[in-house]
Amino acid sequence: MGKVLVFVSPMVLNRYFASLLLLILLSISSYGQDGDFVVLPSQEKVYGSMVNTFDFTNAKSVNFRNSSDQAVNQYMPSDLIAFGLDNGRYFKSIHLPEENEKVFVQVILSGEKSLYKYKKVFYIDDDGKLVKLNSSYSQSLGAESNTQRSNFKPFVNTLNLILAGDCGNSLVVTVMGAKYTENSLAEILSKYHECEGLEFINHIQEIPLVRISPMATAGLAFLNQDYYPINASKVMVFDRNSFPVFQAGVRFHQIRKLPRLAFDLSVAYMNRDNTLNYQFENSEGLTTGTQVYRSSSILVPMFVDYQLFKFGSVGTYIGLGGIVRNTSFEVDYAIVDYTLFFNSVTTVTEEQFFFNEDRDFAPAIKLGAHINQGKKVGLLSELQFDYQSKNTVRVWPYSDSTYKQFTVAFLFSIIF
Amino acid sequence: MAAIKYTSIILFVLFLSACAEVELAPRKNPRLSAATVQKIDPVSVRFAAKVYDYGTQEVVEYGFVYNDKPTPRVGDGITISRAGKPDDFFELETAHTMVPGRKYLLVAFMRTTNGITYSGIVEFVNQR
Repeated sequence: MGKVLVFVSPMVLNRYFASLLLLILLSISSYGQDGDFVVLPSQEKVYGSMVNTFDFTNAKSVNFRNSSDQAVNQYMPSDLIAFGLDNGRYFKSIHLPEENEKVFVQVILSGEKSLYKYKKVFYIDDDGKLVKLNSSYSQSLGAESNTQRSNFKPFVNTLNLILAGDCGNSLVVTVMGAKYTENSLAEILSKYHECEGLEFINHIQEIPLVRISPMATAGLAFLNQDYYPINASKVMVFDRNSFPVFQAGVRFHQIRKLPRLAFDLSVAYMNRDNTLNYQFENSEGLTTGTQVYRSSSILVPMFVDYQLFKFGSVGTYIGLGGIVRNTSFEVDYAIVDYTLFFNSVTTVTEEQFFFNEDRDFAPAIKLGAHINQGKKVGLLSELQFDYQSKNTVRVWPYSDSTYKQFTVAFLFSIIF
Repeated sequence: MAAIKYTSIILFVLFLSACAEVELAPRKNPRLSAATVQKIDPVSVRFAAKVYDYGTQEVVEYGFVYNDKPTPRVGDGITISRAGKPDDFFELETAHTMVPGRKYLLVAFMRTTNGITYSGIVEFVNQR
């Protein structure tokens, strides 16, 4: 037993992974997808990628990188006719009656009667005439002592007027039950266009409510197991501090109504066969110990991720969650030496002194980048931390001590 | 761009700060298994033990101590020993005067230039 590195060992590996991560993150800043487009006033459709913008609803301007020359331009609503995103979302620059200047509205449905949305309000473009759909509201009726609340849906009457005709009449019952939502209004207008035999595009139909993506992960976990606060007289040194991790799981992401959120659920396997060398010294004596053990864990990591930034097709996120760990632990060899200083007598006993919880839950946090977000195949690069506090070291003649385990895992996933 | 650079720097610092060096003093004492009774008859007994590790100190004597009192130790029990360094498995045989049916306690030991190391205690009953 000599001088050893603990936690992230060897340090070279540590620096290697840090450098790799740095390179990846820096390189992806210039990486973008080319599935987005803008339509210029000249009717020219230019392909490229939207930059530094996460949610385009209510966007006052957009930054767009042209795929041909990589130039980034900022466009105001007055500079564009429309723009579209790779995932099917489509925005148009129009002048709303309530606004002084042009704004970007999301086009929910395009047709003879198009449906737009701006700041949670829906509008129908009735063959060039823009009609606002007023949302539902409730109102108190009657004297104070005998009030009633009634719900009003003024947009229903507006819809009936706009859709008046044979097809409109056949949809009256559907319109009466309509809700002031994208799906409900788009469904009614779709039925109307189908009934009239008119062409239309339902832009949100292509956007799923949630995308469920399987993913396969491999990575390296660096374990630090020690007493906290660190006790200089008690030392635990493991032969290995890094272990490969393999996991498979699903990611629920691109949630239409909560686009910044994602949920991860995985099952992982980690083998942690290792040798621990232990040392404790006080004024009376010196205790040393060695334990060789076999350990393997089935882990269930689960996270709620929140997207922080988006750079082209790369989304960075922070995840909060935890890891349920089920561990099998078998001791091959364990020995403890206790030397009394006053007579130089050492007593050797063969006994297990390092114990591991069979089941535990470790709170965890992670930082990650989703490269090629929105595409069929992407890559997740994650740095994950978890903290486990309940394991035990029991060395005669001293009482039990609790050690903490802090894990840093560097994970790469392919996501489909 | 600025945000991704800051994120990179934070991650980089986190990784490098995770390094720490701990020194573990070299262990000096030898390590040996508990003794076993290989053979016992009315006049002689043979004990054995395994050496796991010789430690860093010179081994000058090895052997066994047994007694019918707790904690047999050299000078407080019957000692069977041999000078020098043992093989990684050693056994010694000697004549005995143990009382039939009595329970005895046994340890193996190795003496070094710096002290003495005892194995864990095992019990046995003289059936002869």
